[in-house]
Amino acid sequence: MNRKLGSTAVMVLAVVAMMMFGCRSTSSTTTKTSTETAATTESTSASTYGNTSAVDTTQSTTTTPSMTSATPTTTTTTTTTNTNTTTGLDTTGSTSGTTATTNGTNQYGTPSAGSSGTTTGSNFAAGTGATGTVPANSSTTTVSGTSGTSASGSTDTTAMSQSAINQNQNNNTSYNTNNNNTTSNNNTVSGSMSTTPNNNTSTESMTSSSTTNGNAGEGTHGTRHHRMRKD
Amino acid sequence: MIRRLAVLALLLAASAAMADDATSILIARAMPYNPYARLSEIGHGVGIVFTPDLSVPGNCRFYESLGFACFEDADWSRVLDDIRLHNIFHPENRVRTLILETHGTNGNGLKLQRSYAPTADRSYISVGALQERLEPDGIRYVLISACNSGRLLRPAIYRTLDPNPGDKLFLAPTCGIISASADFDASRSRVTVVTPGTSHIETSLAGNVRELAPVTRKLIADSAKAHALRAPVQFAVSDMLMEMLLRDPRLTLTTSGYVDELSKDIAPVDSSESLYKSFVAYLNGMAGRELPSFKVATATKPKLRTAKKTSPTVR
Repeated sequence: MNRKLGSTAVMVLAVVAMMMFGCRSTSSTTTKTSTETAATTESTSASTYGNTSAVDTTQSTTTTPSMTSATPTTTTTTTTTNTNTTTGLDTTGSTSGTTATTNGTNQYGTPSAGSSGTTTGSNFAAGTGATGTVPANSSTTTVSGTSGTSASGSTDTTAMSQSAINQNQNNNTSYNTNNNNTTSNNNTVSGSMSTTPNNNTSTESMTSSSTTNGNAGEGTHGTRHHRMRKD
Repeated sequence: MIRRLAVLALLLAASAAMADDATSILIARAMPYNPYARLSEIGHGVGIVFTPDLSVPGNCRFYESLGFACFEDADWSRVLDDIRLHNIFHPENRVRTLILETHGTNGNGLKLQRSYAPTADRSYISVGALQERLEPDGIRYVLISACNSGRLLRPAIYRTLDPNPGDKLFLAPTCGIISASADFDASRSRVTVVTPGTSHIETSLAGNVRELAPVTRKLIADSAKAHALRAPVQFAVSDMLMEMLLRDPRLTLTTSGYVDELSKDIAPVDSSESLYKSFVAYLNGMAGRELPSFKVATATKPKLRTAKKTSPTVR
């Protein structure tokens, strides 16, 4: 009996041993070669289409140069007011570094777009007037001539011709995006000058204003959209 | 023993991951992603309710062109009727998920209104009433994109709104207040109400179709034509809707709990604008894949426009 049990145990051990060693000794080699070629082309284009426009951009510049001579006193006052209004249908889009040039009464420039963009006018060139020249970017008007009983030069009482004014205007919006925008501008420039001759006082004033009605075409949505709260 | 602990740890980690991914699961269920969807099928099975004063002219045409069902009215009764009729007469595009682009009235009631004028058309509904009324129509998910939506779930107003909450935004309900019946049991409703994870002030942006790529505009115009609609020009889109469509990881949604505290939190404007850009790119991407051969016949340079000043009317 004991021998039988012993032999049975030996057999069991042998089987177990075979399973263990057998499993380990069995080797299986599978070679799989797989070649995959996946060509994926994906292009994403940022949206550069959209509507840009501008809304109510108003800018004004006032330049008041004055000069006073000792005796008699000659005072020249030049007031330049530039008002740019950019309006449009939509509230999107913007303009980067656009330059609008006004020559006479027509202004054609690159667009102004952007609902909340700020247009800044500058570089108003000189306007000729009664006494001397109003230089660009200057708040000082120099009246040529010497003091005397009257202001030298002409104390011209005629209205200043606005056509003589070269107005270079740079419009910069506060957003910088690249747009293909076109704006048509209507500029209205009006000037007036009054001079009091032989009164030792010369007063010159010039007023110019420009209005830009811009409605840009497609552009990036660089400006902010109208936002609504759901409260 | 060590093996058991390892298995237990794995199970715990998996459950934690699932909890973190609750928003994704909710979105996947409410707005299943279809990689083969065309642009005109983006909103398949989804309805959007707009309060008129947070919409723009022709807004629904835009969403219907994208496959959404769109409802815009200041009277909740008419909106609910329209949803029912839609699901009856459009079995191919039954609304299963409803997105509410409405006011939350500081969490005092879901409000639709024509304007803030005291006598303007205006109505309110409770969350419970929505569940009760929408369940028979087959709606299964209601996603609330309204301010302080967490407060709408307060037990005190869940079924019946307080008509005098003492809130200045709670204007006269000229078109009524809809409440749930007294025996309504929300726990037995098959309609799941989903709100943002945090209660805050929701916002929408007004966009213009011209901001989309030509191919996108063409597909939208074609879809509108197929639905016998005029091509849309403008649209209003909420941050939450954009986040859902974009599967934005910042979006968190929840289906449980309520909030008592009134929140004044609002996302920065830049965040909305960033989402909007992504949304436009998303639409353009879909359109480009759908119609890769599309080319603009004429130069892309826009024509000079000399239109007179027109204020951006957004209503």
